Amino acid sequence: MNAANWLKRAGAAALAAGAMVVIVFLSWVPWRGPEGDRSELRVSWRIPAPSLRHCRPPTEAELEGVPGHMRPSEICNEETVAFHLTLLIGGDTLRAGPTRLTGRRARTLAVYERFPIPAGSHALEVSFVPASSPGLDAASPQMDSVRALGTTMSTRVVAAPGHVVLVTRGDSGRLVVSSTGPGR
Amino acid sequence: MLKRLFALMLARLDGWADRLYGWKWNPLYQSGAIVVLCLAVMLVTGIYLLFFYRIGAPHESIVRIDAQPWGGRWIRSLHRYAADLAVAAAVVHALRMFLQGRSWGPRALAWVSGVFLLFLLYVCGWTGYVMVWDVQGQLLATEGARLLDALPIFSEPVSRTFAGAEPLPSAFFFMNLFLHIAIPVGLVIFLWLHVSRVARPVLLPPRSLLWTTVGLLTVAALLLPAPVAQAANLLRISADVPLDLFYAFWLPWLRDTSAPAAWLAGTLLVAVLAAVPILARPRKDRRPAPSVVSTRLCTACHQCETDCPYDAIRVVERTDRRAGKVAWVNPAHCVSCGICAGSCAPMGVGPPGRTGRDQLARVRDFVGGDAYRAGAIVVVACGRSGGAGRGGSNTRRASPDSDRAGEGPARFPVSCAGNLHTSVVEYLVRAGARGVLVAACPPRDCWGREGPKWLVERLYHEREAELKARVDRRRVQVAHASAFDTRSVDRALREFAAELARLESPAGEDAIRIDTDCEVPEGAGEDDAGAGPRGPSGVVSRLLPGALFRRWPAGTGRTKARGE
Repeated sequence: MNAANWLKRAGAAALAAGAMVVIVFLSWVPWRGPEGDRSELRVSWRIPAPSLRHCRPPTEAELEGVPGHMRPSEICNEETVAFHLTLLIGGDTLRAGPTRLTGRRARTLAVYERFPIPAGSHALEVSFVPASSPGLDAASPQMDSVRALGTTMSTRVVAAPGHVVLVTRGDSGRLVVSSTGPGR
Repeated sequence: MLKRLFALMLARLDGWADRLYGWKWNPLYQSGAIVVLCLAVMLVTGIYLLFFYRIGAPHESIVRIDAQPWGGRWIRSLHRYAADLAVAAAVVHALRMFLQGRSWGPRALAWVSGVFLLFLLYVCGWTGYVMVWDVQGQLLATEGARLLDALPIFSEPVSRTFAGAEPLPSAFFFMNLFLHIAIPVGLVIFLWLHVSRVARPVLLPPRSLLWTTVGLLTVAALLLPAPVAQAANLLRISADVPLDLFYAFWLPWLRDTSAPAAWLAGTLLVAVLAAVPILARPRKDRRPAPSVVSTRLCTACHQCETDCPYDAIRVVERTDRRAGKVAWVNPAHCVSCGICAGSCAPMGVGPPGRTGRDQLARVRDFVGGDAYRAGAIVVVACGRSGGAGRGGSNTRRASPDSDRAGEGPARFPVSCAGNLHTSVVEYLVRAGARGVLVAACPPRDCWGREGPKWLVERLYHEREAELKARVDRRRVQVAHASAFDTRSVDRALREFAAELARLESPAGEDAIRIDTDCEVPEGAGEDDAGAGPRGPSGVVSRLLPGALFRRWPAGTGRTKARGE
């Protein structure tokens, strides 16, 4: 084999090795996201959606045509109560609006929100209260148990860079703030 | 225009790689097979890793695997690098198919299933990185959940799983592991679909390239093992993340994009990729016509059925007045590669204008014309090889050396060497050509998949439609070279000329009669047009124009058809 052939083989081997090295390095490329110096406020909890039950005796027209053994003594409508979530940080509103109702029958109120916030100490206000709606009877005795599910919180949090301030709901129904990072 | 430019760049790259590795070892020609090889490597290494992976403590188990003194670390790295190479090879493969115009028509199924294969590979890689549960895995999981939450599928936000209020349940990692194992089953199904329209699919590269690739991956895994990144922490936002760009190149973009916009962009991309068979196909009047069968000439020898690289030909019962069987071309499967034209001894099948009889007519004109000179070497130049000039397409006039001497080789351009009927070579040798050099594309990169392979078999190994024994094999040679590899053709030409110089001058024949196995009687063509058989799906086979058939002796049969 002459020198040119050796050179060609060496070039071929070097190219193959180089391609493999490129694959290895593209497999591990350090990337720094924009969040490095920021922090994140995360709110997350889930409760069974409360509902109000309105019952009334059926009218004659409603009973007409229904066999005797199938006639209900009362007709009930169930109305799920929506909740309103308000988040303020340093007096600025991050969010103010109804929470999402999920499911069709056994509905839940799932709250999950993420907000980038600057690192540092912040005044945090959270309000999670039943939303008023035109059909809602605020004077209904059932509303008391619904209102009990609502909660508000006003506290001061320290958000460390790159760390999360997590607001969750404890077993007692009270809001709990947990955060990690230096300065905690 | 842009596609043509990229196609030229690809051809040039092929030429360089051919010069370095030779066409047998050129990995660019084996991109599809390399993907399958990588999948096999991933399967083997994945089974090993499965023994040590713990869904209850994913990251810890990865760290433990990495700390194994004798195997874990490099096997994990081999698994990862094989996955990376699979993506790279799949992209190269798709680009090749697109730029070479092999993504439309009957190849559409292969293209679309290939797009799904790539998608599944990505999802599999996604679940694989989530399994590790390092910072990259966390980012992939949270971003994936964010994308899923934008769809009206789940009643509650999936992202809540990653809120950090509670540790992630083992069930999540179990489901992830299940997907990581189940998706490869889908890969196998799509792979079967991907190659279902081709005969004799090549699923693995040649043994030498196979072991070299595995060896290189192993060496890379041993010398540069993939580190284990920091464990995921849901209460930290991942700022410094080592990304595997093969699987997560889009993550930085996705982080700044809303989920609906990301879905829109992803859907558009997939739609464009899936629509390539429609977007890339030529205008209707420029599409090559599928092969047609002359029912008069066909002896039902099964050779075209055997040789067809796309399983487009079947031998079916005749529906005309004659007894027996006849070949039938399924136009939905035929890509018009023309391989059947070269494999049909009676010259009864092939794309319109490219059948054996058409080739014979062309070579007769060529020998009678100015371009041919008795005693010269004839280069039968495949349009996709270096014999056709730089970049192919038969733009070359003659070899520069011979131009200066004024007695260079005559060039007989053909669209594809795989179509070449051996009677053309016989005709040239008997017409007094000093030698015939067939410049074909590399067998691994044939547009019709198996053209050069069957050509060599027919010329030297007595495959049906073989070069007749009376032709001096020393005067026939085949050279393989990609479109920009004119050097290889020139070198082969020089060596061939030196070999021919040792032989006596050829004695040309004046009245050459090539045994076309079944000759058609005058006017038989008109009858032929109505005798098309119906294939299994009821599609009437299209026929050659009657003018192609000149003489037809009574009593045709396969034995007679050999003409020997």
